Amino acid sequence: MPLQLVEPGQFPDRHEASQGVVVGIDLGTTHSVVAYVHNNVPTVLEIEGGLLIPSILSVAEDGFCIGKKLRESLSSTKRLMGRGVEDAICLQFPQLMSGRDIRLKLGAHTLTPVEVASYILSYIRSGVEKKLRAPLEAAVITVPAYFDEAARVATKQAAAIAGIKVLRLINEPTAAALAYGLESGAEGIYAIYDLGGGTFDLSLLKLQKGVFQVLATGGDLNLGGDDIDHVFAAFLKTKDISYARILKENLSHKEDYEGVSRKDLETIAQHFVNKTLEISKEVLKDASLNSEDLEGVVLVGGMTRMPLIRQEVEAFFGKAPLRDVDPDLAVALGAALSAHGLTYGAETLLLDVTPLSLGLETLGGLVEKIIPRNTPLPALASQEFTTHQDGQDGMVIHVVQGEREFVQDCRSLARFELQGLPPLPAGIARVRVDFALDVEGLLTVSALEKTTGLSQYIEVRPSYSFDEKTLSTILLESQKYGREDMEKRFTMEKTLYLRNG
Amino acid sequence: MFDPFDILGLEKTYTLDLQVLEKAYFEAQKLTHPDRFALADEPKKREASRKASLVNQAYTLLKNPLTRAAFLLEDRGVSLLAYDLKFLHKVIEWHERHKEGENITLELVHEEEKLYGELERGLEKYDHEKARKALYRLNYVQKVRTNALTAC
Repeated sequence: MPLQLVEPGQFPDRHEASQGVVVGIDLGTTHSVVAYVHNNVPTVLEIEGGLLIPSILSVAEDGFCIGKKLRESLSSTKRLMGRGVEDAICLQFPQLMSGRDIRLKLGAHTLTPVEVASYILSYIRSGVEKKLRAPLEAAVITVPAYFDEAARVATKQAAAIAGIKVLRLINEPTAAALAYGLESGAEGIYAIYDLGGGTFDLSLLKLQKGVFQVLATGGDLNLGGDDIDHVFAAFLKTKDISYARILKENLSHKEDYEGVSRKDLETIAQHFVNKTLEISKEVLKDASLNSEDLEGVVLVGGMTRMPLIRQEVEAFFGKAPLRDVDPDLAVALGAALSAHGLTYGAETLLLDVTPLSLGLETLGGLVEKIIPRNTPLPALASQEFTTHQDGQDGMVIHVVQGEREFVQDCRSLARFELQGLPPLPAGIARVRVDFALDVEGLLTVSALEKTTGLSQYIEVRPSYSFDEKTLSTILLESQKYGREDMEKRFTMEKTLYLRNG
Repeated sequence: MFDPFDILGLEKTYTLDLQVLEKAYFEAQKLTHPDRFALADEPKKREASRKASLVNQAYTLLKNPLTRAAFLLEDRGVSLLAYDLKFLHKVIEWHERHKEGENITLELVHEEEKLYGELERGLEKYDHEKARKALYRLNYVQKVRTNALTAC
C-alpha cells in the first residue's frame, strides 16, 4: 500500500468531510505527527507545511506558538507526563519551578506538562480541522508501551482539555506494527525496536491473518535520544542541548560535522545502545524466543536513523532491520488505521499486554503477583482475604507494581482500606477483591465482603510516580535479584512449613 | 464456574494442539474484544471488557500445561495440596549445586520431561495421585529452572 501525502489544496470529498474525521496522533517527545485514513490509505497530514510537528511550545508576541523554537520555549515535556518533582528526569528541565507538583516556567506563565501537551493537541486539532474542513470527531493517541498508569492518565487529561475525544490509547510499537503489517501483508513474529526522543520500547508481535498479538514487551522510560543529547552536550562542553541534537542528527549522514567526528558520538551512544540490547534480550527471554524465531525487526523512532543503532540491532538480531515504513511516521500511520478501524469496523484485531506485573502485599512483606507482566489485556484477577482478629472491621489492601518479590522493592500503586466489615470472628469474613486492567492498561479495584454483600468500588490512581532510577532499573534488578529473592522466599516458605507441619 | 475449555469451546482434555487453541482464542476475541465496541455505551463496553478478560484468562490458563493440568484435576474434584519432603530435599540440593556454580540445566530438563510424561499418563488414566504428584514436582522444577537460567 503506497503512502500518500496530502498535497496543499487537496481536500477529501464533501461527503466524508461533512461527517467529521477521526485521526491517529503520535504525541511524541521531540515531534508529533497526525494521520488519517483517506480512501482506505493511511495518510499523514501536513500541518502548516510540515509532516513532523516539533513538540515545542514557545511564547510569541500574541500568545503561545507551537512547533517553533523561539527565545522562550518548552520542549520534551512528554518526559514529565505523570511524573513527580522528585523524579530525577526533572533535572533535565531548567524551567522547573519549586513546588509540590511539576510546573514549568514559560515567559510569564507557569504550565503543567499536561497543559503543554494539551496546547500541542489543540494545535493539531485546529490544524486538522482547517486542513480537512471538518470537525475532529475523535482520535487514537499513542503512548510508549512502557508508559505507566499515571502517564497514561495524564495523556488522556491533556486530550480532554484540548477537547479531543480519545477513542483509545494504543502503544507506540503496536501502532507501528499495525502500519508495517498492513502495508506489507507480513506474517510471523516481529520485533519492534522503538527508540524515540524520550523512551525505549521493545515489543515482540505475532502477526497473522489480521491479528496483531503482542507476545511480550519491555522498555525504559528514561532512555531516549534526549539522554544522548545531554551527555553529548556535556562532551561538547556546551549547555545548548539543541545544538548537540543538531550535531547528532547531522552525524547520522556525515562522518564529520563542525569538527566533531561520528566516532565521538558513537562512543557516547554505545552505552545507551547496549542498554537497549540488554532489554531486548530480556524481552526475548520473557517470550521464550530466540532471534532466529523472528521474521524481522522493525525500526521505529527518529533515533534509529543513527547508523550505529542500525548496525548493532542487525548484529544482535542477526538480520537487517526493515525500513519499509518511515520510522518517524509509522506510529501515526498505525494510530490512524486503529482510529479508522475502531470507528468504521475492521477485521484487524490488536491484542496487547501489560508491561509490568501487578501484585498485592502479603504477610512478611512478600508480594503475591496477581497479574504477571505480559498478561494479555483486558485482564481480571480476584483474590480472597479474611480477617486475622475477632471483630476486625477493616483491612488494608496494598497494590504494587513491579517485578521484585518484596514490597519495598516494588512501586506502590494504591493502598486502600476496606471499612465497615461486619463484626465476625477471625477468619470468617470473606472479602473478595477484583482487579481489572482495561485495554488501555488502566486499573480498577473493587472489593466485596461476601457474607454481607458489602461492596466498595474504587478506581485506582497511582499514589506517586516511579523515580527515574526505579523505573529504569526495575526489570533489570528483578533479573539480577531474581535468584536472591527466590532463595529468601524459599527459606521463608520452608520456615513456615516446618513451624506448621 | 470458570471453565476455560467451555469459554473457548474446546474439548476438555489435557492433550491440546496449541494451534487449535490459538485459533479458538482469536475467534473468541474477535467477538468479545472491547475494541469491537469502541463506540458502544458504557455498560456494553464494560461487559465486553469482562468477557474479553475471561477469554484472555482461559487462553493463558490453557496455554500452560501446568495450569491446564491443575484445572483438570480440580475440575475432577482432586485437591492439589501435596507435600513431598523427599522431593523438597532434592530441590534444596539443586539450589546448592547451582549456587556452587554447577550447571544443572540439562538434569532439570530431563527431570521435567519425565514428570510431564507422568502427568499426562496420570491424567489420561485417571491416576490422580500420580498426576498430582507430578504436577507438584513440576512446579518446583520450573521454579528452579527459571532461576538457574536467570542467574547465568
